[in-house]
Amino acid sequence: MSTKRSRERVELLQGTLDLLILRVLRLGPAHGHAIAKAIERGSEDVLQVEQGSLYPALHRLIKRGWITFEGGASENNRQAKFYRLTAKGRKQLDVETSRWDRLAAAIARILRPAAQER
Amino acid sequence: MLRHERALRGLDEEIHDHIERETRDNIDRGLSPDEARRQAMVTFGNVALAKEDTRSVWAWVWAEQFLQDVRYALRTHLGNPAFALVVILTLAVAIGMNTAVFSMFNAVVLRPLGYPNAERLVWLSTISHEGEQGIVTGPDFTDWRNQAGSFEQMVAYGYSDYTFVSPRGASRVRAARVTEDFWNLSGAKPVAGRLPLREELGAVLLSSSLADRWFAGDPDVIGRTVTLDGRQATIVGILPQHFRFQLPGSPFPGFRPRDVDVYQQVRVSSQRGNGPVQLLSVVGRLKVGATLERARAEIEAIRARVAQAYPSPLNDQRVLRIVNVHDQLIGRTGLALRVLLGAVVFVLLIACANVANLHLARASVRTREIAVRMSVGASRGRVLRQLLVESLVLALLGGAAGLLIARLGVAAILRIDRYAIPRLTEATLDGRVLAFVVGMSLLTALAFGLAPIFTLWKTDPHEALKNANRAMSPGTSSVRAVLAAAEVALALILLIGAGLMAKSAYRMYDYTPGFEPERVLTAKVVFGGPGYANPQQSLAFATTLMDRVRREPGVEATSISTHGFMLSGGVDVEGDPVRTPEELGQRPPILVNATSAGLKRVMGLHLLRGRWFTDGEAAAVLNDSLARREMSGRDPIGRRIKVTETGPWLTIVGVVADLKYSQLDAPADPEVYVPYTRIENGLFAFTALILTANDPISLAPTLRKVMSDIDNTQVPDDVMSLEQGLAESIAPRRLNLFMFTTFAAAAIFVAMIGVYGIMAYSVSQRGYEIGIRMALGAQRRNVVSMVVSQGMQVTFAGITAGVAGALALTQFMKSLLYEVQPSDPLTFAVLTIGLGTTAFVACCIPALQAAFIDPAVTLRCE
Repeated sequence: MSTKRSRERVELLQGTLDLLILRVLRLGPAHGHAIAKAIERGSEDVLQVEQGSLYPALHRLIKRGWITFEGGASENNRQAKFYRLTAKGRKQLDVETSRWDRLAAAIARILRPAAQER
Repeated sequence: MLRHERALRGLDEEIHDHIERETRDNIDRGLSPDEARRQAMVTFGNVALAKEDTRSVWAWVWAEQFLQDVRYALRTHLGNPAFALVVILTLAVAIGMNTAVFSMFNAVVLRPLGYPNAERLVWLSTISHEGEQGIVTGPDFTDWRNQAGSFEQMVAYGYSDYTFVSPRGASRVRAARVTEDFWNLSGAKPVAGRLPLREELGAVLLSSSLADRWFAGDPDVIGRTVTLDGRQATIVGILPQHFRFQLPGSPFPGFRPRDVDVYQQVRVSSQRGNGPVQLLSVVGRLKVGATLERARAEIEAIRARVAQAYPSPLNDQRVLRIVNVHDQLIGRTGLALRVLLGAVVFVLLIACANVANLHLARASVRTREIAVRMSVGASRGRVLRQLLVESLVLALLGGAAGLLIARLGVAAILRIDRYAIPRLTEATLDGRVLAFVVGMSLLTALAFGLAPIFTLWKTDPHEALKNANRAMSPGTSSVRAVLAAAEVALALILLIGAGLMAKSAYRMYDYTPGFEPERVLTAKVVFGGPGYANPQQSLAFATTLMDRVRREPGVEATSISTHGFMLSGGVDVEGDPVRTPEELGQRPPILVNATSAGLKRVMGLHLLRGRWFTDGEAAAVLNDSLARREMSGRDPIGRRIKVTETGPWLTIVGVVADLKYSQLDAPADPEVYVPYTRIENGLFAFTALILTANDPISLAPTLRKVMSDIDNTQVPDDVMSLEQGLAESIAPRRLNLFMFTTFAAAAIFVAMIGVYGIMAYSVSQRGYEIGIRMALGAQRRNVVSMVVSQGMQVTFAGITAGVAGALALTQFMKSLLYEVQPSDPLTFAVLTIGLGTTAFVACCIPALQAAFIDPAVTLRCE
């Protein structure tokens, strides 16, 4: 049953999650857990990332060449990868951000009159 | 290392690390270690799914999973080998039969001729009535070739059977006699030697198989001189192994089909007027862009000009026929093959239904396994793919085994009769056949694999796990009943088809008493070459041969017959007005049989009136058809007739009943029997007929010896029993019957497994219920009748549908039947009852098993 719900969420978050990851990595390389925490904290815990869905998203971004990674031992001596934004990813982030801003502004314009009517 | 491998390496570690960090964060927030870990897991979500989704970002994952599925499928099937084996065997038989028929269809109908631009080859002929082979004369051909502008090449050809004398003895070969454009038209390129030059005569090319047989390993074949029917010919080349003479037209009536082994270039006489008429077959290749219609108009115009310059009533009656060579070659066999192809698809449908049924039965067992897989995170798509791969593995294994069966099947068919259908010998497993098998396997995998998927689709893991081993929903078992009924219906349709053909064969073999073809040895003798230029020589040869053979032990009577070799427009009756060639040409010709006093005894001819003639008598005997056609109600006995314009007057001394002794599936032709000694032009060929005491074939060596003692250049052709000859006369029908019977047998077998299977399964599922019934006092016979009646309901539904289907479909078989109606009530009744009985037996086995259920054991188990 949880299967179904998680599937839906991945689809729901797909574009947005990619954007958020790129935004987090702009501040510097980070490993998976740190990225998840940064998103949660940065949104003041409004955005609950189902952390499992982070990894498919990361690999999608690697595949597109927007981020890259380097291996390294983390403090508890396990393999952990540090993900880093590429030049291509930086450009993509700018494009995505401005697109998101336009979208958010448009949606806000539509929603505000409705809110005033109430 | 590839990028995706690098990216995915350490994914497990990374996720572990991630969860550990989350756990530590939670502990820092004051949670107990256990709770901290639990919450970390919840926040992360489904670990396995995350990994799988991550892997699937990289496309190659699909292939990896596919391999994994295949491995898993193989393991599953190995774990249940009986199930897998039954499925594979069922599919192998069905796919094998379909492939065998398809490879025949492919060779005969689909594959173009092996000659370049075969689609532009057309057959030209003139026919006087429908169904006739048609002829072209030498001058006509010459005019067409020289004047028609639509053709690139035009070739005239005919056949000759030659006696070839070598130091190792004499043997018979078939030669194609072709005009010089044949080499261009067929694209023939010799593997050794050369093609004949233009206008070169007396040059022959050999097929590579004949070159191997005659001159195995001899390097100096080219340039060698050989003797064919007493005439010299030079071998100038050898044709490649794959080269075949593929142009239509039977050699001559009464002779068996045979591979062409000698190619001889000939010239065609272009002079109109008196002299022997050459009867030719003609094939031309149209120019690019030329149409059949244009070619036809051109030839018609040429014919009109010729008719004006050389008026001839016989030519006017003949109608031009121009068709694609391929169509002419296939003729009616195309239809027969399509009927076979349609019928064999039924076998496949039955097999699919049966395998789907087996799968459904197993699906109910596997519901639990699948529920487990889904509850640990497998998506429905993933499970569906897994199930499809399982079906696919079975179908491909079945297809591979089917290919083997098809190979054996085609070999068996070729052994029965290589020439039953033109080009049948070319049936091989080529790329198209392989593609057919693969396509067939994929299709069946989908067909039978989807059935259980539909039921599993609705699987709710919770329900499935709770009701661990309960019977499946009633909906599924009704699907299975419908499938089993459909199997019965399809099997019955095939069975009735086979039955109608069997009855046709029975009708054809319905010999009149006294006619015993299984005791008659036949051999064809052809007089060729300069040795028999004088007519008396051929008559003397026949007389000597009959006398000597009759003295051999085991011979009861001998005769000769020119049945099929001599035709006439009709007989002239003394006193009647002489008929013009126009009048004679309007009706099918009659057969003139130059024979001897012994024929009546050998063939068991039944006299209706008068008596048979003695050798040397100026007499004739008519068969009933001829008497009715030519005598128009008058008493024929004592009247005098002429069978040819220039022949002597012969007195009719008797009338015999019609007898089919050359072609079983056609009514006897009108025929007049005359003493061979009265044929003044001599014989060009005859059939020696020997009535033996028991086994005719054992006398074949004696016949050969006697013939070679009389003339060592004479070799008998087509030596066989008359029974075999008659069987070969209906070879295409026998092939159809053989195939249909095989299909029907396979169909019934599979369908009965289906009926048995559903009943056996139902009994095993209802064991608990039956146990309760028996505990409550039900008698064994109540249980038996309950199970049997359930099974017979399925059977009756199937039979009803099958009879309806057969009534609709057997109409398409009309041309394959002989003196049997497509809706023959007796065939329908007998086979329906037969199938019903078989199904009854199939139901009884599980019913008896049910009757011996021990309530105590069954109830304790549940």
